[in-house]
Amino acid sequence: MSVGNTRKESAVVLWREYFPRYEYFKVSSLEEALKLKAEYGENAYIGAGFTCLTRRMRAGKIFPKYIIDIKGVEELKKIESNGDEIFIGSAVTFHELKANSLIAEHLPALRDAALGYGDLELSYRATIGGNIGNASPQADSAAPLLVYRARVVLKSLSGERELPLEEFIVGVNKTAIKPDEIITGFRIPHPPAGSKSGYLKFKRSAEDRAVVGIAALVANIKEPSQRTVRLAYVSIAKTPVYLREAEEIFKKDEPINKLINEAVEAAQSKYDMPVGKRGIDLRATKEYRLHLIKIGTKALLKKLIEGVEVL
Amino acid sequence: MKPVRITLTVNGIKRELDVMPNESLLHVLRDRLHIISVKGNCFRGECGICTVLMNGRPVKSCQVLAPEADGSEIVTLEGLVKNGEPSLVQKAFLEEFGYQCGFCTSAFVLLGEWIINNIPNPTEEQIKEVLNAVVCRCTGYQQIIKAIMKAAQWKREGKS
Amino acid sequence: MPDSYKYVGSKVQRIDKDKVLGGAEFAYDFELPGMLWAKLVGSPYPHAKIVSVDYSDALKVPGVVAVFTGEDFPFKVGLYAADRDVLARKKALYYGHPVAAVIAESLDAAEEAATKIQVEYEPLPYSLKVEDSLKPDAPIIHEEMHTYKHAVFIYPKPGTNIAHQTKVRKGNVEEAFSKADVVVEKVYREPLLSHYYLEPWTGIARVRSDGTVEVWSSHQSPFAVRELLSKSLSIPMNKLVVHHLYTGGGFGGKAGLLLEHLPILFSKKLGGRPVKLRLTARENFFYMAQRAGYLIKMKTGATKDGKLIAHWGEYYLDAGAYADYTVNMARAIGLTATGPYEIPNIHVDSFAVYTNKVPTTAFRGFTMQELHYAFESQIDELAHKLGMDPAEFRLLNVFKPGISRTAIGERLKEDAGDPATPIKEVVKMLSEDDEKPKKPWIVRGKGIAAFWKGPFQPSSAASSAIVKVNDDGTVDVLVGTGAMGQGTITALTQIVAEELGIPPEIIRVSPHRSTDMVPYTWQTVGSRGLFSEGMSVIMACEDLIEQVREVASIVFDVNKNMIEYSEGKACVKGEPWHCITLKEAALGYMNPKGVTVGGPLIGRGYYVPPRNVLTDPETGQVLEEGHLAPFYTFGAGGVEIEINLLTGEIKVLKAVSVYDTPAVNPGLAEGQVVGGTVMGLNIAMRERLIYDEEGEYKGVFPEGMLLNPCLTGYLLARASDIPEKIEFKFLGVKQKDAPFGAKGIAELTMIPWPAALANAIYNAIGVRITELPITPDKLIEEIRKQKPELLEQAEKYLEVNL
Ligand SMILES: Cc1cc2nc3c(=O)[nH]c(=O)nc-3n(C[C@H](O)[C@H](O)[C@H](O)COP(=O)(O)OP(=O)(O)OC[C@H]3O[C@@H](n4cnc5c(N)ncnc54)[C@H](O)[C@@H]3O)c2cc1C
Ligand code: FES
Ligand code: FES
Repeated sequence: MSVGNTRKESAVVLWREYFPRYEYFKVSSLEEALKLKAEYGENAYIGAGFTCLTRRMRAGKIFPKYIIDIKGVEELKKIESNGDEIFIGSAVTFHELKANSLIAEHLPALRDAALGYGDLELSYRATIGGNIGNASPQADSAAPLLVYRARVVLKSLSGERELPLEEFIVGVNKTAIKPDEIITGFRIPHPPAGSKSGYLKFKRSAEDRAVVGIAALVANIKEPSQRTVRLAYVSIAKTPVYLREAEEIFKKDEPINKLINEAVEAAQSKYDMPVGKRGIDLRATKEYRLHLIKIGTKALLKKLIEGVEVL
Repeated sequence: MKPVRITLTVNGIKRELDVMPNESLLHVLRDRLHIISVKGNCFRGECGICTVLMNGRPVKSCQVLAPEADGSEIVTLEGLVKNGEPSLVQKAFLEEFGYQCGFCTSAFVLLGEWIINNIPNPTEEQIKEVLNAVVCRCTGYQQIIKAIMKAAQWKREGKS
Repeated sequence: MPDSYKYVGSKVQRIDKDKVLGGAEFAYDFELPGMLWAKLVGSPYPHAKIVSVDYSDALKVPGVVAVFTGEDFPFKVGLYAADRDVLARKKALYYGHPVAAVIAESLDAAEEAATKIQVEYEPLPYSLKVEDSLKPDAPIIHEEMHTYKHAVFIYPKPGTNIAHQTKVRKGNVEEAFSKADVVVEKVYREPLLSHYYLEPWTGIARVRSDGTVEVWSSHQSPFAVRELLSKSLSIPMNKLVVHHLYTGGGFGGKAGLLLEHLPILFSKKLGGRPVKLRLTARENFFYMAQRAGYLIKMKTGATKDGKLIAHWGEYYLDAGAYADYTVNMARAIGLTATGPYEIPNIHVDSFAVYTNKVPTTAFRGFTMQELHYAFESQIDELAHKLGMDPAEFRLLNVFKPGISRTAIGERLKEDAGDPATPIKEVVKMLSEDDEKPKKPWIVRGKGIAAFWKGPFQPSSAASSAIVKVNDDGTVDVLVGTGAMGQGTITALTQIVAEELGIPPEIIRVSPHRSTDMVPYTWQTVGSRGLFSEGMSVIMACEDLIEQVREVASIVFDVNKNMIEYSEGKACVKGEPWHCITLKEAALGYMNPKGVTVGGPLIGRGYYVPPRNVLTDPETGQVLEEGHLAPFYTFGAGGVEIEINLLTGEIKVLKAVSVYDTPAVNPGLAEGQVVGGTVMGLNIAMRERLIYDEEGEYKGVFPEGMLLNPCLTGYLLARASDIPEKIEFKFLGVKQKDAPFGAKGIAELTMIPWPAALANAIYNAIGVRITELPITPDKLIEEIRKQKPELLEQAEKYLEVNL
């Protein structure tokens, strides 16, 4: 802002009650949705729970011309396993994630994330597809999905493709989705037998997004060469972070606490919210988030390894 | 932008309405049906005072697009008094001073209804978990929690 | 409250039952046929010249009726100082400052058009900090301050950014400090806050063809709104009707000059058509005034034997772009600078300072929470330095009613209350259980704070009431106070029931009122509602009873002093068969021969604070023997907390508070205490409005913008966040000239918490925190600075044993 020069600008509309003007389609099949997407491309927004979309519209950040409501598409609401992989449809709600037995049994970190998500009312509407599609740095489901090595399933009229989640989210509210594509769901390999996993979320009040969120998966911890430790973080950078380095670090035959410290430092080095002392989301200071990365990683690993709950 | 015809059952009465796609369920209820117990504040899904029961579940009506609500069954505060008789939750709110300015009250009463219908023997912790969806700036929640505990107890005891 | 009362002191249900049963009407809900909607748009700069406004595209949106800008209303409005443009004119003073308004047939159309308004600006240098505003080369925010009309007790300094200064001078501070054995000097910071009442501000206005202006709005006090509008807009009061419906919370934020002038002026320009302006929460953050921020420099000294002898302070209130009530708050915090303690030597200056932030106004507690945070932290520190028990130290210095003089030289009345017992009680209530936390990285601590407060009002702050008996013997009570949930109308019902000896069910105190229909009351602020209204209502009941006795004495032909009134009837002493009931006398008593004695029963009562006096501008001392407030409520609060040394999170296990006054209705009192406790602790732990004061976010967010105007950024306590236990006591110490001895409590319940929390943290881990809110990140940072070994020890427990 340079002082002294005049400039013309739109006055600020701080908030609005009514949405911008669009046409609304409630689709009951994926086919229908894909056709609309093929026809309208970027002007058409997919909506599922609308917990984010409604906000972005009212803030004047987006002005959709078309809205495609996919909530009614049955095949997007499945949670199923073929023995090797679990498929979670994009329109599955956080409430369903909490209540589903496959998730509880095989993907406990995702269940933790669902339990810590928002509030009861939102969990009935908000979907996992919207959580990832929205690509917020705080998306709770992203950290578990990263440690479970989830792949995002994308469909358009011209076919289906899969992307590892790490490659799908590319920036704040930015994904690698193409204008004619829809997220149909997530494919998740069954975690290694005997593995333990969990998600730890730091909040500032009972209804808050993550100040820092940490997911971990641990298997064969006693045997360095066989050991699997995976770590992922949300709300420490502009995108959710999968800590690839951890995989190597924990393969070393050194005291576990030393390795954990090494992983913590690696995770801290990923901190990337460069603006301002409270980060771009203003939730907490940089120092504090680095502190939580340390405390949280250690506490979560202690819980998964020893079964001792500290936090 | 063209109006969309939807069917809503509100407090047991079925209605057909023409709504605009760019309004929310909150606007339909307040501005078209004049159900003023449903309040608005943030229009961001944060405060929860726009809560209504939609197909039996509490939702924030400011985030439901009007056409999305087609075919659904809505219950608001107005629907709880049956034949002039307030619901157990309403009676308990009166007895336990579960409200002050009253702007959030309809949301909390509806959450109370959901709780006593879905958790037969709720603990204070469980009640708080549910109430976290709505803010109250006046009461500090304690008397609201007491009221819902009392209503749940009455229900268990078969009081009507 | 003694048992001898039938209704006062008991748990009578609230009378505003429609809030639970359905049908309760707020301004938010109010509509009129043919009503138009207004939408405001704001400035994208914190300080900028407005060169031109282009709204031609907005006018093309179907349904749009008009667009107004600052130039349409070339005059200023304001509360204590007329410092406010109707819509920003010539200059915008903060990000979001309304620069134009769209009026349309529907809100949808108004919102659509609002996106199409273009403004040409010339950005100016701006200040987001009090320190910056006070610099000699600071940008002057109100260049025309010298032309502003202001109240006699407000002292603006034209040519600077100082909106007001209050001075208190007593004794000789320098000399006293030189004699002090211990001195504590610290700087305290408290951020701007939002009231976050749940009903966003709403107003609907219309102008009738005879010129009468009517407005329905969300406010605390209908008569205050009328007075301000009448002055600001030059409308005679008989042509201006303010309607009060239920108000969805105020907490001080709906007490000053609100936005009613906007729909009124719009309606005037549009042939009197009703216009509604209803804000969303985010707009409310910018268009309504918030609470000031504080920079408090404070120094206090005591002698070895534990006597407070000197107090020095400079208090700066960050007033934002318009100072509304904040100028008077600067006055309040100055004049009550020493909390509930007697200190002979005082030197205090308090300032309200303009910055390019959102405007500010009153907040529940009217500076007393802010002051007590600093002062009660300082008291605790002094006690520790002296090696004394903090409670004992307080007890040595608290006011002694009847003897003590306050900072401004006011002598407290004999029955002013009991400052000491609450402190002792709170200590007892805290020490009951002494369980140790099970986990070694969790530590416990207890802390207390004492407090006092009275309503800080003009000496002429009057109230009045009318009690009417209806034909069927039921009673209508007319008062001017606002109903925003505090329960005053319920408590007044109890008082009338008690006074007239009739059941509450046959009494109605309407929650709704209009200024042309009910008698005057100044304001619903300062915890004065029940006190002043209660006194008026009692007098009105007495007046009514006199009238019934008069009638009875004529009918039964006996001397009036032979007539006794009780339980709704006036009877001849010792002849219970010779009675006249309220019902029989309601419209005048008709005797068997058809002659009517008396007329419709209307009791009238009023209350004006006795001997409320002004203070000297140079010394802050009372100009003659008298009082600043008609009552002071004394109390103390304490918390027991657990600190997690790993995360910095604080859990409040127990919050206890004790008040010297009786409570008129325990159910209502519990609501006030719990609500105030939760709000006060949340302010201590979570709330702050964030501005980019250091310029770190340039290029990311618009410059000078309030960065967290929403509940994801401005955190309110949710149900799971409340303390595990909230306990309280009312001691029942009565003030003679108070309704049933009871003083106000609404704000008091908020005051002690930040100080008690800071003191508990110190007691637990020896870390002193001088800035609010005490968030986990702040606590960890301070532990790292003051006691780093604690963090290292705690982290050991995270090691994995394999
Ligand atoms: C008060 C509040 C609290 C919240 N708390 C949390 C929290 O604790 N943790 C958290 O992670 N989030 C939180 N959120 C954010 C939000 O609720 C979640 O991100 C939610 O999962 C979004 O899902 P949705 O179905 O509502 O998305 P929508 O709003 O329907 O969509 C969000 C975005 O994703 C796109 N999208 C949705 N589905 C698809 C699809 N199938 N294919 C392609 N694109 C798609 C949409 O076009 C849109 O851009 C909160 C939101 C609110 C309002
Ligand atoms: S209005 Fe706040 S959640 Fe709907
Ligand atoms: S009663 Fe006022 S907000 Fe809940």
